[in-house]
Amino acid sequence: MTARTVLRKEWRLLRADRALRIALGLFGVLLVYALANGVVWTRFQERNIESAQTQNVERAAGFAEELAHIEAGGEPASQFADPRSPFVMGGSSGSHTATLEPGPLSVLAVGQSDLLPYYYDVNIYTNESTLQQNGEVENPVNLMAGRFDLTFVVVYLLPLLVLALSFNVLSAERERGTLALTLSQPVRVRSIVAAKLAFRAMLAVGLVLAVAVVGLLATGGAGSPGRMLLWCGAVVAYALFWFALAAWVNTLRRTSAWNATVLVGAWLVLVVVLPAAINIAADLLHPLPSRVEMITVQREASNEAVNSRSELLARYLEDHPEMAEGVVADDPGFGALSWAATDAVNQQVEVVTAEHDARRAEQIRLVRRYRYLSPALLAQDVIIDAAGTGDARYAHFRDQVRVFAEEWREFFVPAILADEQMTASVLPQVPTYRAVEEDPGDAARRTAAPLTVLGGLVLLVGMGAGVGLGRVRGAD
Amino acid sequence: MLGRLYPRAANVGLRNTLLVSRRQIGTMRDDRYVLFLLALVVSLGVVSVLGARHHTASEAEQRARYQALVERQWAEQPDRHPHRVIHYGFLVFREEAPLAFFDPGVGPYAGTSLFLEGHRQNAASFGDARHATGMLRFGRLTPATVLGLLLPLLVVAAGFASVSGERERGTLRLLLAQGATPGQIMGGKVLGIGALALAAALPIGLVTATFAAVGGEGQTSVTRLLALAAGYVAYLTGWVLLTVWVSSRRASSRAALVQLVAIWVALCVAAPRLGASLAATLHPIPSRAQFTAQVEEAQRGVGDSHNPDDPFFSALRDEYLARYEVDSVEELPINWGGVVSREGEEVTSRINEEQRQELLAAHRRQDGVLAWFGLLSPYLAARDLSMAAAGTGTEAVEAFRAQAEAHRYDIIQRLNDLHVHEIRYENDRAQRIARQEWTRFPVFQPNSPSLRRALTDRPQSLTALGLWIVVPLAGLGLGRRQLPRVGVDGSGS
Repeated sequence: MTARTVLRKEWRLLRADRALRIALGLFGVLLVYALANGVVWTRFQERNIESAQTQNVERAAGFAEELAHIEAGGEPASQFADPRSPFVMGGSSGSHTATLEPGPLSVLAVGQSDLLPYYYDVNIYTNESTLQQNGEVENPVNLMAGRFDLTFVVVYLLPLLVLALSFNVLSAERERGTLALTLSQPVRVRSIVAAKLAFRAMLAVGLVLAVAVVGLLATGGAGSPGRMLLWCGAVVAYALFWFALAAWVNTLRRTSAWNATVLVGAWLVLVVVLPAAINIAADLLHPLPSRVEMITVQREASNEAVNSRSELLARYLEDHPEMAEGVVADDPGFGALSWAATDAVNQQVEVVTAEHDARRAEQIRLVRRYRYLSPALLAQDVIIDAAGTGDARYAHFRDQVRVFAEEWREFFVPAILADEQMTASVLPQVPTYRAVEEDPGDAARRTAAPLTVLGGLVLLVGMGAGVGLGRVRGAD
Repeated sequence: MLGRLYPRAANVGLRNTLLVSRRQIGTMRDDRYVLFLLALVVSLGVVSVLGARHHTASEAEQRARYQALVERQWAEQPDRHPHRVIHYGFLVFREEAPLAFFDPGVGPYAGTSLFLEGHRQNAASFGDARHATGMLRFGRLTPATVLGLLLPLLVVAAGFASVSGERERGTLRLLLAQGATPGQIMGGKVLGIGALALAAALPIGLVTATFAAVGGEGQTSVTRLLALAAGYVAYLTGWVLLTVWVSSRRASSRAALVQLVAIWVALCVAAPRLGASLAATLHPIPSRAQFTAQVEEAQRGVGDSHNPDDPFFSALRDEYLARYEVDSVEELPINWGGVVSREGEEVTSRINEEQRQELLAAHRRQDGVLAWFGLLSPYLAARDLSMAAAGTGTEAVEAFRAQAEAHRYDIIQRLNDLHVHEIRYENDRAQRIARQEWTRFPVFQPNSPSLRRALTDRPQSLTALGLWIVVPLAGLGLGRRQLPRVGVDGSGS
């Protein structure tokens, strides 16, 4: 009896099983729907990024037009938004929006991208607290539910399909009485179970990968083969873990019903209970520093920095040019003074936030160790990191925005301090944000450890199953 | 034997039902797997109460402390120009409902702090979830998830073989032969499994009630606790009925288990996300940038309070000049700058609020889709009602926002009135309001929406929970005559 015979027999068996056919079909439909959801969400982000970039260009063009008009002897349209002032051109009305393209495999994994900002308006007032604030408009109910994306289908539902396909891979033969018959032939149990599981694995994993790859190619997102490989590796390892677990449980020589109960129990513990329990344990053991505290301290810091002068005087004047009327002319150093106040605030806020961030990073580092407790957590972590929708890529983006904001300030602040006026000739030199995508190797390095552990788990459980199968005799 | 056990039980039907329920309890007590699951669910429930209680208590303590600090900072401001105070602003923190430790609801996904200042309506920022890791997307173990997600599985594990097991062992025929009717058998099974569910839920409920009482919220908490208890009892009753129904319809216990687990996965795991993604597709929400652009667009149409040459404000100036019968704003007995600021605030606030309401209406349309989806998934309905009873639903978040906005408007206009009446137009900026004035401002005291409101706003969820009991009950009732025949002629295998 060759592997081909087993495969052919398996194919006939599966075709005959109506429930499995329905399950597979339903799974396929869910995969496609999840992919469609990912595509819709990715397109939505892309449209927003595009419109932000258009607005960047339009703002610059508007300034150019107005400056040309002024140079030709005209009056500024509004004396309160005179682009010649560096406070205007570099301020909030002249903001440049820095954007982060959706992750390379964002259609496959929404990940954290619905929670973390992917664009920031950068101007001279951008500081740590603006990086953390984003006026949230998404429906919290939807955020709570999470998205129905391919990652959800893979992490939660794929194991169930795997278990449905393999919980009775051996026990059914025994219950039907065909095991003794099969083993009367010169063939080993191990090879038969391996062939059967290989067939089912190809079916289940093949379905997922096919939908993912086709979806990616169809949406033009195949530009990152390294990430794609990581994504596939995580999916395959995760699915194999469940196959190995099912094989191992089958070697315990219990009934199919017992196998089913235990395997569903394992799914429940590893996918639902353990992650939820870890989250609550993490809260208790490594509480994140309170944001409430940080906000208040930031505010206090700002207040102290400007107690003698008006708080954020520059911004205040931008909002209220009518109040500044006469002041700027009478007092040439006014711009520099008010910038000094703003700068003092930024410095304070930076100190407070850096401290808070350091504490937070430490706690998160500790919490992230717990992901090794559940293959579901490991798989999700690798999958969203590979897709570029994990926390790391967004942190990388924020770092770049910080650098860009610094560059922006360095461009406008000297003019503010020197009380200079901006002209049309500086417009082409105004910094623009150029995203530097993180090196794909970074994602590979970050996911190396979890992926190795996941692979190790597969080997371990698979070996356990192999040893157990070696002991199975036809007379059992 | 029956006569000895229940000598005074006049009603034979009740006697038989109780007998079957005792039998079911006995079976479950001998099942180590069920006992293990019971212990697991109870301990997870109790641990989650303790953990969540600790978490929310420290958060609440922090918020209260910093709210007090912000209020003190406000009151201790030096002599200031009122417009300076408008930009100094005020910070409010959303207080979680007393029962948030039981069911945090949408709390972690909504902003917790809101900066109130002139000219703009900020959105609440700093939702908890945005500052955690991706692991949080698996959900945090809360007492509500233990009751809503895990307890149904305990019910399934304990009851999937309740009728089909008797059938497989051949004892079902015996019971029927002894004179128990199918209705009595199934009733007894329901009672037995229900007793187990109660045994699991009761400790969790008691710990919750104890902590709620320690929190000292008094009357409101008792009604909310009762509403929560009623909701979960109804939800779990539905699961018990469904389990017995499916078990009675299936020839083999294995088939019953597979079907029940599939139902659980569909209703409790897949449905919430499917519903949310369907709602998001049907009623898309603008991005933050689009929303900001919409607001700015709407503002542009009406007038710019910072541009004294704006047509809206020149009309206003003419009106004031005519009313006071003077020729220039300098001659007005009140401060024209303050008037501009006050009128401008009114206009911008109105527009902001209109735009915000439009956005919220889109949220409500999404919630509406989810509410209808709840008719298919009792878990969604139960979760919805649980949030309502705990006071952690979207309406609580929205009530906070609306009250904070009302407070903001009130404070800003009081400051503008000070500007109009207490500050002279001439040499406006150099003048100050004495510091004593700041302590006379009202303190922000938000109220959470009433339980009655929260529940009456959820007719679909209430209906869904009702149907969740009625449908399996009807199934049991209609199917009881077939009970002896299932599995005999190959049906239900």
